[in-house]
Amino acid sequence: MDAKQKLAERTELFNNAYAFKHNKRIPHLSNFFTWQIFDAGYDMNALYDYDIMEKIDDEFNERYQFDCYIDLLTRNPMRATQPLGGTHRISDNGEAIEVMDHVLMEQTEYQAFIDDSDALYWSKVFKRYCKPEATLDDLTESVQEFFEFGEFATKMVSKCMNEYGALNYYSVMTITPFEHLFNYLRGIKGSSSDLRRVDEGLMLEFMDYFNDKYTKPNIKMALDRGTLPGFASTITTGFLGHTVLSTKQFEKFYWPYLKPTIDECAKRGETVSIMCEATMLRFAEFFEDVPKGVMMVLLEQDDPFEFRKRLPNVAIAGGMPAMMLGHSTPEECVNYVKKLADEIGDGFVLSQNKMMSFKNDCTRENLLAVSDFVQEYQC
Amino acid sequence: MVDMEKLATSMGDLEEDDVNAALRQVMDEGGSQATEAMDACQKGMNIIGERFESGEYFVGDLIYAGELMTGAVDILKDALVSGGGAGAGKMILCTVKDDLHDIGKNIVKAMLEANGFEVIDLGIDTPAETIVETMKEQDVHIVALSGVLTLALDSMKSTVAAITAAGLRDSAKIIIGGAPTNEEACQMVGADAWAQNPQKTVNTCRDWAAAFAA
Repeated sequence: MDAKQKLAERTELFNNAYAFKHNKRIPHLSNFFTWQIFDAGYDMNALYDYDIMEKIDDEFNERYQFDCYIDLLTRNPMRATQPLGGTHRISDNGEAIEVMDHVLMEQTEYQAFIDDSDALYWSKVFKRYCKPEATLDDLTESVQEFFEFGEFATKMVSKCMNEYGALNYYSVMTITPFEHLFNYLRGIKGSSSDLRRVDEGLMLEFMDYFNDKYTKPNIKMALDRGTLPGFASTITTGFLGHTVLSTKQFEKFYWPYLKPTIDECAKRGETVSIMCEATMLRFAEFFEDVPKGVMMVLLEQDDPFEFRKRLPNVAIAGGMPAMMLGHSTPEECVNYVKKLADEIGDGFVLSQNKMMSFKNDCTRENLLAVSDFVQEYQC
Repeated sequence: MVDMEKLATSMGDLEEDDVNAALRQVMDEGGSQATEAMDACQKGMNIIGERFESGEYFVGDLIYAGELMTGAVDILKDALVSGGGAGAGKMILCTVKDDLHDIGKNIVKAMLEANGFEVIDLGIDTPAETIVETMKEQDVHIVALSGVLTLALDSMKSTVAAITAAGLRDSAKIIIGGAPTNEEACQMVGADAWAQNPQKTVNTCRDWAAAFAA
């Protein structure tokens, strides 16, 4: 089968999974982010060399034959952020990337953001992102490196489709206003205390402003052009900030900005994938009315069997525990995949329940056993 | 005089302005009620723990509660004779080697202190040797290991092995917590227990402390 045929088959596998149509085999989604670097015999410093990264991606695809990739070593633009100070650094032993925590917007700056977010970004936020001694030359170098990184990422996305014959999981990545606070502007601690300390009206005004200016146009663009060939869904969204929210807070600050995206996808026959960190079943009631065929959730800590019972209308990606891939036998891994496929049934894509990042998250032997099994097993 | 019941309720309700006003009143009146006020804040933290368990509060509320508790100690510190919260004994808490996450650890620390533990916080990226040395030097028998990365499980396992090699394992209780932990991880690491939330850590450590004291 050539790459074009593979891509067509894999596209059908994912479309069927979204639509709860029966698949002849289990689609396999790679949630591997940096483990493959170790598998190929390198350490994290490989992230500085695009030729090595491409070689690692090629070998990884050749060896395990995933149907779809969340990451192709294109997540960490180390060389691009470094000239400005960088928020990421590689640990001394080369086995982990450490991300420095920083707050880019102060608790007192919500009104300033609403008044003129562009001005705040350029006068305050960007400065806080950079090292204090950053110069114009550093900025120039950073921009040049970003272009190079962009070229590498574009090349890998294209290679994934045209040479591997595999799908890319990310299409248009969009996030709700609270996610932007949580992940970028205010951080985990800041966004948590803001929910209590900042005037509720002002918080909601910020959410509306952010939604109108940044989120909605992004979603409109994605929906207007529809799912692109070679991609698994129309829209992808991260679900991380919910981890600090109570149900009441979720209902007030999160759901009103996520629901319209899901509704619009349903209306237009498009799809949305949610990449969920930690658990989300405590918010299950909000998703009960999502029509089948619209949404897929990449699960992390939720039990996939319980998830299927609680939300039979939402397709599942995930299920394979990193703990098992790293510490069990091939036979145990394969038996568990069989159990997942048999019990969850249609509307299921096998993936890993963590971003597979570290050396001991998986063994080659286990992953080969699982990869071979999903190619053969008739659901 | 400050109404301590009301202070505990305000803390439980996470009413920062009311809590701070009451604590400042305690200090303005000479600080003689400082220990009582600390106890009231700790009582409030227990209310917060119960509301977390019932689902009314969630992680963001615990982060905020931790900030309130730190602020409370800061206001009262000059009038507090001792560190407060004596009774449950000493224990070690840290994020293990190669993991730099501290938010979960700090939430757990605030809740343990509110329950009377003297928490020796060894910080983040903590080598096993540091934990072993501290156990020996400070005669500590309860150790709580935190981690967010799957990488942390390896460090937890090495830490338990180091505690065993030092001959301290039989007289120690070890609990692990954080995103990658579960029953299988607990067994793999060789810990005595694992906790999916801060309140469970508190409950488990309280039971262990009571058993050690018996």
